[in-house]
Amino acid sequence: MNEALAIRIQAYLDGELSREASEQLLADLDSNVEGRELLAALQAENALLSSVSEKEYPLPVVHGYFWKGIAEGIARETGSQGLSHHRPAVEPWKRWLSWLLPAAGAACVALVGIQQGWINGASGKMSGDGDRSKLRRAPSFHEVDSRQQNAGFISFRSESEGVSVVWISND
Amino acid sequence: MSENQSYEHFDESEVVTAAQAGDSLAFEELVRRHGDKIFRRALSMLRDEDTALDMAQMAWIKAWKRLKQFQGDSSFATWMTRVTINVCLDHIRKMKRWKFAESIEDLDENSGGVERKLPVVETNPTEGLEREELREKIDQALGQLSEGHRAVIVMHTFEEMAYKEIADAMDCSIGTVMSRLFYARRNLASILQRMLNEGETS
Repeated sequence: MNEALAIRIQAYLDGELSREASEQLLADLDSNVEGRELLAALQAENALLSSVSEKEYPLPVVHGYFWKGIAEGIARETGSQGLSHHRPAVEPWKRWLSWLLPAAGAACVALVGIQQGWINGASGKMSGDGDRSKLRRAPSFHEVDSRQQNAGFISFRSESEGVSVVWISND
Repeated sequence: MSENQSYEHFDESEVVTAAQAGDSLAFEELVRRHGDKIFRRALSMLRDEDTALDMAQMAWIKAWKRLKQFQGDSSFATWMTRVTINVCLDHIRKMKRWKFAESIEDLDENSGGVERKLPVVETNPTEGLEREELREKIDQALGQLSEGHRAVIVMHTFEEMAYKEIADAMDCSIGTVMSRLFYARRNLASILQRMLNEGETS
């Protein structure tokens, strides 16, 4: 068998020959029995290999173990830029944005609240009901402990403000 | 839901883009999705489970470092498989275990000539074999090839790489690829024929 012819036959089957070269090969094979046999053999082999898929070989270790080796290898090869479970570092402007937006939102809420207070106050004055309005907004103190005869102090607890106030008497 | 599953339902392109931006969770998701295939490719070329595992991990490490070079011209799996093949070929080169039959004379000396390697084609020797049994026999036959012959068969037959691509990967000429592929196929056919004949007589 001529090696060059054998390799041309293979290239023809693999679709690596130009149209002209393919036509030339087929013409050459007309008078070459051995070449035609090789063509048939290679075709049979190709059909055989393409008729079955490759045998499956699953990863023989659990993913966690496999990944650990990769992560360690990356850390080794990239030095301080080792791989860990984190998102990539964000751009500085994005970092500013990440707290600026919530802060801006909180400021808006605060402004609305203050504005609401002014409106309530102004409406109270306008309606001539300012005292009632102040009473509504005043802390609701109430006594939680009574005067002790010998202790000399008075304490108050404001539930709405969450504070307790104690007066100590010098008597 | 653990944090590792955060990319589980994402499209491949989204996961790749996130990994390219340096998101290690996205990269781990890619390893999770393609780990089996990459290991299988390494094993098909090297035929040693421990070495294949090491080379598969090495391929993923190289992929992380070169991830930005992936432009999406092919699927990520195809690109990753090419990385793996290159890692395996490098390993084979380092181990200096190339055993190619570079010429027809070598083949004649080693194996009794190309004519005797041609399988009998008058009848189909695989007729009657169950698909799974046939797959097993082909796998065994591939295992008996030299690493160089197996590599070229894997790249051409299973990865459908063109001669030029194989030549680039193996750092040789297209002519050398054609020659290696031819003798690799002849060897494979011969081994398979012998195995099937042995199966008939036993």
